[in-house]
Amino acid sequence: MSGLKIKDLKVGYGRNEVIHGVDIEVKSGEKVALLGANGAGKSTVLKTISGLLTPTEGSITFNGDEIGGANPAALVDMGVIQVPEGRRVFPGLNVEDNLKVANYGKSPDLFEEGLETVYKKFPILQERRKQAAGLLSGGQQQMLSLSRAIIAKPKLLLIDEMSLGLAPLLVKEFYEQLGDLFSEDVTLLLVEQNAGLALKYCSRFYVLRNGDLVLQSDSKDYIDDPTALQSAYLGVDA
Amino acid sequence: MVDYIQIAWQGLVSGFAYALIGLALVMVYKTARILNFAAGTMAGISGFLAHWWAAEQDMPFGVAILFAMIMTGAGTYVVERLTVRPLVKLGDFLPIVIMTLGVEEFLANVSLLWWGGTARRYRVPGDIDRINWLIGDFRLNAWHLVVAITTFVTLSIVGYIINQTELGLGMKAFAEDQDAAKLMGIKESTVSIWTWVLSALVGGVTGIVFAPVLFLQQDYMNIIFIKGFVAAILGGFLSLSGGVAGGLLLGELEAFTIKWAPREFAAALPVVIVFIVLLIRPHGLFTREKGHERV
Repeated sequence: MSGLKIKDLKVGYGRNEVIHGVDIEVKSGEKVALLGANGAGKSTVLKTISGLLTPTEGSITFNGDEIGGANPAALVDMGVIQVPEGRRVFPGLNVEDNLKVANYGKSPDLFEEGLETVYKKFPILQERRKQAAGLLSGGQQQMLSLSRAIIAKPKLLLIDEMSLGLAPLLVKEFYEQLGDLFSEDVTLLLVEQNAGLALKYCSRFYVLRNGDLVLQSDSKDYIDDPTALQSAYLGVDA
Repeated sequence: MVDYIQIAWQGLVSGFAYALIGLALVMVYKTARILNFAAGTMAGISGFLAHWWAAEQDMPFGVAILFAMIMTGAGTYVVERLTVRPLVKLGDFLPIVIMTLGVEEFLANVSLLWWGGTARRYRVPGDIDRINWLIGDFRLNAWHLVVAITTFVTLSIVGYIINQTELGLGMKAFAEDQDAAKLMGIKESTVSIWTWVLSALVGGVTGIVFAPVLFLQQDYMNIIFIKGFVAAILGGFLSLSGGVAGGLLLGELEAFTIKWAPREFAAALPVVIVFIVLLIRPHGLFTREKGHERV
């Protein structure tokens, strides 16, 4: 079985259970969105896949290997790469060092290669490569955050809420660029509040509400009218 | 005039000790968010080992220092794995800090058992700590010069590791954002343990080089530890260079206080400084307040 398979996942912080048994499947090369309102548990799911949180129950497999509760560093070695919410660049490190961190423990030759690709896609990063990342604009920080993922060569890419705190026009541009930034066979699970954007890019989606899946469907069924998802988001008939 | 230069130099030499211990403390706090209360005692044991091996076990001085440093590194490795690592998973700050206090107590008593409580003064090769040069009216002690050179070399090596190596990059990334660093594939336990070892080696160098200046006594590094702590606070506890600068500043303040104020006041000076700094600049003298997040 290739791709990502999550079965009956339960996760919490301390004694507080946040995800109450969730099943998600992303086939190899598929692009899938995980939607839901603020606080629905989307980021918690992503953090569990990338190893920052440990599942209390259930299993997560990637290409057949159990990865639930694995060390984040081991997951990065397997190609499970997360673009975190809020970009999370290292503000005190300069742009190039931020990118270098994404190549941690790997050969410098590979880094040179990745750096070239990244600078070709985002020339502004090359221009500002010696500047502290904290001084970049929000959009440039998002470029940097995505660039780190490019350098890390993902097999499974997890993107957490790209639209957070960015101008809508900018977010739209990033979504349009995604297909160009990562190769076609990268498996993608994307967390987003803004359904309209995510549906355009992903073929399928799940909606999470208060830690439970309430809806899964093909994007094409909703793409013309994403507002129809409101009731699923909020749990009321809108 | 020469008088002032003499005092300034004296202050600088003590400042070196505070700066190095301050650096060792900040290093661990910054990357791992752990206050290591055992840092002073660990440094003291390094100093004891080196001088004891050299003076009482007839080991050549250089070899004794090398062995002491190896022991410091290896010992710290074991201490981190045995005492700190199991607690990190709990994700709480306080148990680890209390654990380092426990380690401090343990090590202090082991060294008390081993070496006893009396102060000793071991001789260094060529008795260079007794050589004084007179440059005009300025008196320069040869060992103080050794202290200065050692400090400079140590700081350069640490600076190189932090800024030029992959370990240093990992340390910086971890200091800035632990979760993001983990997501980049940096192993927390690897960065943590090498930070501890590096910090202990800096402390070890301090213990060894300052033993001939102070009297070698079971707890001779405690006072340096306290002042290193003050140095770290002066620097805001999150800046390596701030910790070093804080140490040098404290050394100078102390030296000039002794000159003008009653001697008793000099002993209280560190506490007074902590008090004032925490009141008016809790983020340290040299670091800016944390900037607002960019959106």
